[in-house]
Amino acid sequence: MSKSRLLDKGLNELSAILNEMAVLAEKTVSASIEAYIENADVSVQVRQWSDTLLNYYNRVGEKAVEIIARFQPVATDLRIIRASMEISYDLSRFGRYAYDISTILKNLGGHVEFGRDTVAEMGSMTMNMIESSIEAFKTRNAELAEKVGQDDKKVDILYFEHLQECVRNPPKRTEELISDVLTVRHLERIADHAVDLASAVLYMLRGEQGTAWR
Amino acid sequence: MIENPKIETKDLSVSFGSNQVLKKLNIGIRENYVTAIMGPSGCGKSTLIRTLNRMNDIIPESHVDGAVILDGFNIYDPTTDVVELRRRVGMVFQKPNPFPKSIYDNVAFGPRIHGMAKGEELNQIVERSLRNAALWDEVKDRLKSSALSLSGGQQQRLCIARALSVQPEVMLFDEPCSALDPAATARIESLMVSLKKDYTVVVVTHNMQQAARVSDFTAFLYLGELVEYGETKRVFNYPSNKLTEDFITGQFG
Repeated sequence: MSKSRLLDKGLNELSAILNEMAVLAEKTVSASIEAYIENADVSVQVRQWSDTLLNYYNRVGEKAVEIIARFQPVATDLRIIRASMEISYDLSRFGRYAYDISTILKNLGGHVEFGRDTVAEMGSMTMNMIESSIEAFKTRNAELAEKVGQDDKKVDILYFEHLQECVRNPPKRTEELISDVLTVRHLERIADHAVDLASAVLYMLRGEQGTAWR
Repeated sequence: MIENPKIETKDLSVSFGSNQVLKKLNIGIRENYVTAIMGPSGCGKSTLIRTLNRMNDIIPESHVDGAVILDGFNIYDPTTDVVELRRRVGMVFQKPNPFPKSIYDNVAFGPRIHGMAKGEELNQIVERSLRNAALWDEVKDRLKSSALSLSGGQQQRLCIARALSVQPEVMLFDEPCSALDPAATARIESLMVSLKKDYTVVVVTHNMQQAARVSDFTAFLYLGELVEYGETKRVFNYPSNKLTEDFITGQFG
């Protein structure tokens, strides 16, 4: 029943941009988390990648508008376009939060020991959510997209437990406390954007907003 | 199911000779809304709209089974006054078909043969009809000119004015813009939407973007059967049937 359409070329271009973007977004977040744990400075590199992600986001918006203007897509096609715009936004936000994480040590005086295990654990969970949400998009997998929502609840629990621990047993250096709280906060926001990305996938597949389970 | 439909078909089947075009179709048309009927060529959409004021009666070998209920009465009942039916259910066709008469006489034709008005009262009907068809300002100074001197888009609006002049309740549009340029199409589309305030509007189109633009409800017909019917925004955002999805996304055939 399906046949080649002029619209497909535009949708394929959109998909290609998102795939490139997804690879870069994963790399950017991963680099910033690892650098934080290892007390390394990757802020210059991460800034560059974050800017590239923002450019990708703008390209997706332009391509989407062009496709809508030229082909008046409907149904699945239109939902793919809307979802692509939302996904590209979430991927660009991954880059921005990664950059924010990468500047924390530089701005707050360097070395951090406090909370590193939690950052590592939360970072790993967040990276898994990013990977799952992207995989759900690539493979059109609603089940996997829903799992991202469930994983987010675990991240939220860990986040609030850690904040309580910070109150109970703060480190001696305030800089370390602030560095740690900012970092877990950014990770929690990255996880939220992974949920938004997965929601866009569910919208694309089912035509309904998928944030109810968040 | 649509509650209190203005028009409702019940197990409507239509054949031309041995060719069955509509197959036990059940659809309710809501009053004061625009309902679009779309589908690929040969799906039966024009046949369906033409049963709503019995235009198929004039085609030899046409055979209708089932019922078409207008305000509770079956229009295929032998006692139906077909002339009166077509006054109540007006129709605009694919190609503008003004009479080779003046603009005024085209619009006055219906009220005259129905004995509805004459003199100043008739003038008022003509003006009101032309205004409602968004044509008055363009023709008010040349009402005695031939209708054939108008552009295609103006001729189509004149045909709409002609249908409105006999005060119908339902307006049927059968591919009303397929012979018009984009500007004239846009005017007719706005007109169809504005008419729903006073009339029940049904439009047949194979242009699915037009259906998306003008209608509140959309029906998708395929091979003489109603595949999908629902709110236009739902049908075009998330069609429930794969055939509908394939048709509106251009993946058919």
